[in-house]
Amino acid sequence: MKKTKTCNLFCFLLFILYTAHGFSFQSNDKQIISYFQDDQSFSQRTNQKSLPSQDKISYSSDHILVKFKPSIPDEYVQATMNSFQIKEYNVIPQINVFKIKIPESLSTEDILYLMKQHQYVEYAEPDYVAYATATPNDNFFQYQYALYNSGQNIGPPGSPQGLSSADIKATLGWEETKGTEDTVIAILDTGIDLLHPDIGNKIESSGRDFVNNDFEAVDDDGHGTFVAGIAAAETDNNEGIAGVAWNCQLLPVKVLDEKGEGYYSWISQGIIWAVDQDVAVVNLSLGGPVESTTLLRALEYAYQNDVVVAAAAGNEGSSVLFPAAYTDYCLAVAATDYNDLRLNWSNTGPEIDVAAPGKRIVSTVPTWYFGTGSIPYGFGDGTSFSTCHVSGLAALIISIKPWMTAEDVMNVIKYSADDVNKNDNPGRDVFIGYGRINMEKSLVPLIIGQKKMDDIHDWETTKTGF
Amino acid sequence: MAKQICLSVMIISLITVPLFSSPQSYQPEISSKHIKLGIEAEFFDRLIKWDENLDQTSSLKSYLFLLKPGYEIIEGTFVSAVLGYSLSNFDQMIFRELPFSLELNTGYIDGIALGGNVLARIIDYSDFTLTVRGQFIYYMGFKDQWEIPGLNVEGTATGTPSWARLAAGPKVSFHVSEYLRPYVSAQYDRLWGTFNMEEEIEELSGEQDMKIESKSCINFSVGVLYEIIDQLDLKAEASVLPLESSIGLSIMAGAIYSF
Repeated sequence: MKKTKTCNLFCFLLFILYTAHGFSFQSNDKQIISYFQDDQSFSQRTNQKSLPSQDKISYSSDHILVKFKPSIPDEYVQATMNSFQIKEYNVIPQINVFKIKIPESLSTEDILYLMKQHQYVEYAEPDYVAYATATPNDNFFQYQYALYNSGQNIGPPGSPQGLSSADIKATLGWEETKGTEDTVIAILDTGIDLLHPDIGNKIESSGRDFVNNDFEAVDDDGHGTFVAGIAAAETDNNEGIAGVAWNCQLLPVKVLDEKGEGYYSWISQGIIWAVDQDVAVVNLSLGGPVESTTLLRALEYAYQNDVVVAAAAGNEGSSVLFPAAYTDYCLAVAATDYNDLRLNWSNTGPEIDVAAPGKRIVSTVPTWYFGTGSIPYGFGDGTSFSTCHVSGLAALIISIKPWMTAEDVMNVIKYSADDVNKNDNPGRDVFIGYGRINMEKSLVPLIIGQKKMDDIHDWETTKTGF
Repeated sequence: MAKQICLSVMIISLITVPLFSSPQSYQPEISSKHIKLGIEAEFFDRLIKWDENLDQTSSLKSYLFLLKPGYEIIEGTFVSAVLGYSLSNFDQMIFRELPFSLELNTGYIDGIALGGNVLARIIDYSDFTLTVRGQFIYYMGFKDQWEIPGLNVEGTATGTPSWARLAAGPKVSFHVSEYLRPYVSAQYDRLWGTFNMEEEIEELSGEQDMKIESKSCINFSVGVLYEIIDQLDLKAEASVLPLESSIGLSIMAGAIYSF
């Protein structure tokens, strides 16, 4: 009996063991510059190969990766290679991994299977193909350092080079969302080239022209088309540039004339009209030095209707222009460059909320701008072009969180900005506000894990949900 | 498929109870012990879905340390209270209805576990005993706070999780010897609950109640009861919760003192 009980206890123990993230509207700031004379060769230089879909797992059919067990002598390894008729291979010596060319008689799967069975082999695996994250295939994306800065030349060889990561982390943000078609950005500017090949399909309607008082907001200056492209050019279409708000729509509202000038009344009317069209974001890459109650009321109207307004601080190296200075109701945007440095012509003041790249920005220009046969893209500088990066980000946030108020969206953009001048001016400052915007932090879930020091641990419980 | 299996288990349970409860083919020995005190430690790891619209899933891991005082209300039927402490891990859950979306990587969150247990012997036949058992456990996680990283201002996330588990089904024990009783069991096993998350970042605030629900609602278990001395039994059980593409598991060990 005792033996049985001991045996049973043993069985019981066995069981237990067994189971165990502009230029301004003033025309004298016009800075669209055609850096490209040789359009044809430029296009060829920048022609990128389309990347495969990320959900497609692919690997080399030419070679595999194999690691032999550390204890296996070299001659045994060579003998094993010979037995598989392997004639070509390379070694990654630091980790002792062999990159083996697959013999013609075997498929990748066959040799992997055989290698995995072999007693000398620690592991064998395909040489998988990795892809860059959410990188659009637009030809000039490589020059859009503002979206993704790898330290590349920003233009043809000899152009300035950016500082790696001095960007708004667009590719990472796009991992979370590329925006939705029902989210519309109103571009209150000189109009938009409605026929531009990189914008035409993104325009919700021909918009409203408060300068000529009609309903066709055609761009007769170029500024508006440039701004629109940055905010939401057609993206991943093998052409031109990528827009920040990849899938969002554009609504042209012409409030500036062919000289890039416009009355406050046109701007105020334009804001109110756009809000009434149910847009999500109003982009104001414009401003004037004088305040106006009418302009303020128009901004309040937008704010009360939960429409986010982004406005340019201005490019005079002076105080912030209006309406950007009405910072309670809009985001006042300053400019940084490809090194994440503030630009000295970017206006300053306590009203500045955030900054975005505004130096050497590539974007769309009207098809007529450089003349027949030229490519309709160019470079420009200005807080105008910083502003539309912010507008694009606001549209992306609203795309995935349409229930958020304008104030909430503005706060998300502010609080997630990178304080890139913190060494000299820690915290919010008059130069770049909270910092250069960061799409990753605004859009991608933030990972929480570190407990608060004043951690509470009470016995309070909440709703149970059932 | 899973629903059909759950339904089958419930139907079998409902049929077997009345079927076997009347004429007993084997009369068990009458025990004079009407009070039991059990202690149990359990770990489970099961797939939960937590965003119905997106059908997002992650794994819920939990440790339970339970005290189970029980009383035999009628012959062969024990009712126990369940009191204890639990640690639950909801990592990888993502709260997207907050101003800043948050993903949990907080590790285990402690809390208390309360509930009840019913065990009713239906029939003894030869060396086999058919029992029906049911258990309800409610986990109330303690409110916890975490820093929200990466922002240029300070922010706090406050989370309070809770879940409930209901398991019921038949169990067949085999009397290998006087001391050793292995058993198998199939149970309807559903887990559901809520994770309340609050976010406070300067002027920004938001709150989301994330509903969670287990993907699988059936478990198959094997276990064993081992009598050390007349009043003391040791117990161990392992369960699997099958799904099409993965499998949940649970292991439990405990001791029962009868008097």
